[in-house]
Amino acid sequence: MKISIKKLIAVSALFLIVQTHTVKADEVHNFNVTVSGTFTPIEPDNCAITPIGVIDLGTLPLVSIGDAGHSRISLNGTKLYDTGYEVTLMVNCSNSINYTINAQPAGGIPDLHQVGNASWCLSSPLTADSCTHNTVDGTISSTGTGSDQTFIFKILIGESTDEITNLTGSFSAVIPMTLTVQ
Amino acid sequence: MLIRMLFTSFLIISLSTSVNAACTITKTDSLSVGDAKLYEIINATHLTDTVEGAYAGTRMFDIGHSINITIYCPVDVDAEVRPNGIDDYLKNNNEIWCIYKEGLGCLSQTNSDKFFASADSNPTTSYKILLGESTDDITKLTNGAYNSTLPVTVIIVEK
Repeated sequence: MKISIKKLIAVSALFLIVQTHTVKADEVHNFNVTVSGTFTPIEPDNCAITPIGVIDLGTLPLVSIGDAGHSRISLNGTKLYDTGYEVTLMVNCSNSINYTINAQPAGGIPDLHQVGNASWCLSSPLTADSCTHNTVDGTISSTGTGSDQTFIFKILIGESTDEITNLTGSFSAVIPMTLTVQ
Repeated sequence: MLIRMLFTSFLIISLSTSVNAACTITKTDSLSVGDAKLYEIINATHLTDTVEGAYAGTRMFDIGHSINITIYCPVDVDAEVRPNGIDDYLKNNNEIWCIYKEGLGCLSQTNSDKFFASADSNPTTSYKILLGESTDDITKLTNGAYNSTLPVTVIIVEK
């Protein structure tokens, strides 16, 4: 009977040792979580820009344009005058996504859009006193919010001979606008 | 004979008790986010600012799904949950995934989540799944189906 008690005590001690040792050991559980699904991209068609196309300024009073009240800048040696006209663009996106507006004068002249002997350019507040042209400098970038956003371009006019009084006749210019959704 | 039987019985009890002392974990093994519409993810209801922790500086988006982990333990323990090798495994092509905890940001080896689990309670902790793009522009995410594995390690230490 004495032996049985000793063995019982020994077994109990073993029990405690084994249990304590097991619980105190750090348990490390590794597992993987698999994420799967399908992406539906953003459709560029979700954004629209208005207006796009012809801007008819009608008859421009050259005397008024030459007044001191209009800003005058020099671009590549040509003096350009603020006509007092503006182009207003409205961009509407159905979702809050990033987009870029590119306003580029058409034609083969890299800096100015020339109609007859009149040179046109677009100037935006973001490009300060420079003209929008076919370079990265002429790109306006902004972030859409899903609601209407308005961008205003000033329309400058110049003459290839740098003499605005040489401008003659009626004229119109086509200024293409493109919208890129990133 | 009787002593041997007693010894055997106690040994069995001891071992069985020892096994029962180990903690068990139930967790989310797979998440199907279905058809994830990027323009919905980008909406204001989701995280659009940069997060802390791993991928700090990268815009990460809440895709609206979570991983849940429940700890069952017969004793009081500290549990630590952390992604296993986040920089190596959570990037699939140009996608960046992370396991996100409020206040900790994207979890990694260095900012893992730690919490207490008592013998009387079986706490469940939940982590958001965030999604980003290596160029910081989510609209450049690859179109189509995707499948990514997020390795997770849970370390349990007795209090």
